Amino acid sequence: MDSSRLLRKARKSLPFYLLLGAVMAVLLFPFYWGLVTSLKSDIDIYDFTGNFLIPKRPNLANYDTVFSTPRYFTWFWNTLYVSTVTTTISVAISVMAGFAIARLQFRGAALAGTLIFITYLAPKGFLFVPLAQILNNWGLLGGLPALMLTYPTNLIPFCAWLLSGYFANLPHEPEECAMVDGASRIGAIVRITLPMALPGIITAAIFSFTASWNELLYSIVFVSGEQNKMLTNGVIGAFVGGDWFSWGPLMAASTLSSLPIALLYLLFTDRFVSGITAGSTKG
Amino acid sequence: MTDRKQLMNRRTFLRTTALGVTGVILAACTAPVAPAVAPTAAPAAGAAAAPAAPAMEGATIKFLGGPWSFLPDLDIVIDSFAAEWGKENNVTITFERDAQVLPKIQTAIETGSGANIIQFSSPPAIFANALVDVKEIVAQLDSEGGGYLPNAPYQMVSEGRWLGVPIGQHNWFINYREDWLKEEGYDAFPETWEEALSLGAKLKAKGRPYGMPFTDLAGGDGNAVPRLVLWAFGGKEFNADGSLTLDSQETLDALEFAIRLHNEAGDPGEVGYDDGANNAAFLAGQISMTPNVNTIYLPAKKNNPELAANMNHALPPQGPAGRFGYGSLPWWGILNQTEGAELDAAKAFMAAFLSMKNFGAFYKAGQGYILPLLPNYDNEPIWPEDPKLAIAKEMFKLALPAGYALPNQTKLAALIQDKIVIGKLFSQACSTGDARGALDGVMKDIADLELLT
Repeated sequence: MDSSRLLRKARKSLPFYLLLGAVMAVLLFPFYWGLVTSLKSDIDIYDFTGNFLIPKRPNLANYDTVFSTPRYFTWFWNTLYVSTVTTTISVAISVMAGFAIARLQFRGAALAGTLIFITYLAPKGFLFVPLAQILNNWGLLGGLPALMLTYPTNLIPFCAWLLSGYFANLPHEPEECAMVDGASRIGAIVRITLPMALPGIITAAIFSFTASWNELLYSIVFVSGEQNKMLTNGVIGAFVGGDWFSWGPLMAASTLSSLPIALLYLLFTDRFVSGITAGSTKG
Repeated sequence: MTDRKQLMNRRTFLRTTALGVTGVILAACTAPVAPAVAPTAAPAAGAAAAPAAPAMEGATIKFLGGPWSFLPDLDIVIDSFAAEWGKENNVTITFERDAQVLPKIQTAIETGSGANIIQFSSPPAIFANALVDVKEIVAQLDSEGGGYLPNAPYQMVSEGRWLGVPIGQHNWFINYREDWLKEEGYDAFPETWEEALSLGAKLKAKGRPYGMPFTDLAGGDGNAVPRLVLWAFGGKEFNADGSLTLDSQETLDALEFAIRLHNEAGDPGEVGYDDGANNAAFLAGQISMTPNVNTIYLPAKKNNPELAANMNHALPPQGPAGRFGYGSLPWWGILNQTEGAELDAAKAFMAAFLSMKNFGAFYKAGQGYILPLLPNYDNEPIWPEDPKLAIAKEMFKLALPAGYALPNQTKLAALIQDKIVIGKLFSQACSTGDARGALDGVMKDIADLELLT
């Protein structure tokens, strides 16, 4: 490749990379701001002289504050535990619902799909009181199982809708071939269809896990006691009071909280991208 | 294929799935669920040794409120007293604290469980139908404290019922940079708003503007600070008989002054401040003055002693109509799902803890963050020892409620406060420079709000 051709190619792709860089800078700046704030002392946080985008005296004192906050690790564990269980329940049910809507061709399947998705649109603010009454009647209000049962009510509709679109776009032939060869329908689903649908299932799982990890309203209302709090609620209570914000520890806790989700996306980026784009075209 | 079929036939699949799902649900439901509420903490000295009323023996009271995150010592005072009082009276008191307490209170009301005593900061009228009348407790406190200041009945009484007991008031002091004022030849913050304006103009010329939250984006500051100016110039929202009187020459005078203060001495961003913005701007050395509680000074003392040494507090300046303060009231109430022994215990606990004999420790721990509403505290040893917070003792009797001069809050007054209408009035006037236009706009908003009452 001669130099003029290289130059031409670079000139052609320059606007794309400039735009990409600008979009990335905008999207990543809040995370960067959170990270540098978490490394600053209280005086430096409010010092906007000089280059305040780089900590003048970086230190880990805010992380120390977070780690020495009573029950921080309990909140972290609660969040991880609830998110994992919720994701497992939601994805398992959504796979079955999504497959049934997309592939079983029963009468009213399309309507069922639409109705399931509509339930996702119901605002949480309308639902938390009746859900609390149900949980109270069942004696579950106050503990973590309350969250494990209520989070899926919001997650299953979206995941089922997402997966039904994914299943609808998978070819029928491999599944039918397996059944011709003697596999039962369940066997064909488990051995043929589900592996093909793995990117979609991973997408649904990542969505469920992220939504559970970041959820706030239900975690305030349905659990009681410091020992049952989730990260979102616990951190706010520990570092915010009226017009007082303890920005350093707050940003340290936020940075730490975003790590598991970032790791999850990093591990499954390829499959996640193919999952969310698979339903975008027919055929 | 046959082998595979044997490995996973329909029955096996169904059995495995059913076992798996059941296992997950059982694991979730049988996971060790910690008790919903934590027991009370260590005992405190000096708790009331009230004789145990037989009716409340063995009762359990659940307390639900926000944590005093800014000053955790306040929660310790409550917990310590509750532990001692509970032991002496054979009553168990449990505490549930959450920063986002409103949806929790709503849930407790709707489910009829989860709370007996609630602690909240916005006016209790929104829960009027769910609260017990606590007039007996109020009468006791009123009698020993020399009669409640007007803020208490204003916010707590609805249709003749005391919906809660105010535990104190947050007041807005002038927080100012003493070192910068000295450079301008001032030893203390000016006594009048006019003087404050001329000083502010000099400070702004040096890049040290005031930060007056003339804003409708801050439920605390946006309700408090504009009213300090409104009242000082004789403006008010209501007459004592309940009639609306906001559209007046006095209000226009206040707005014209606010416009001058904003243009000549103010931070241009102050019309869009939220509750934390003035704290952050002051701590960053971007503004020379802002009205606030002690939530700037106490963190500065801990984290930025140099700034704390260079700042001070003052009373809000006087205007043509005098000097006024603003107070917002945290309160305790009893949910009406509380009955029998629990109700007796809840009332007895509140009466004991909130009595002057015991509650002074709470004010003392607050260091001016929360001030009393009973004048007899004047001579009690509850006031901040830090000379820079000595202003608290002068401040607490100055404060008026949002809907002054109404004796009790009406639905319209509550809506005006809830929607931060006075903050919007000042924000729009300062942003546009058109006092009359801003007032006309807000009067239309109030007319719309009247339709909701």
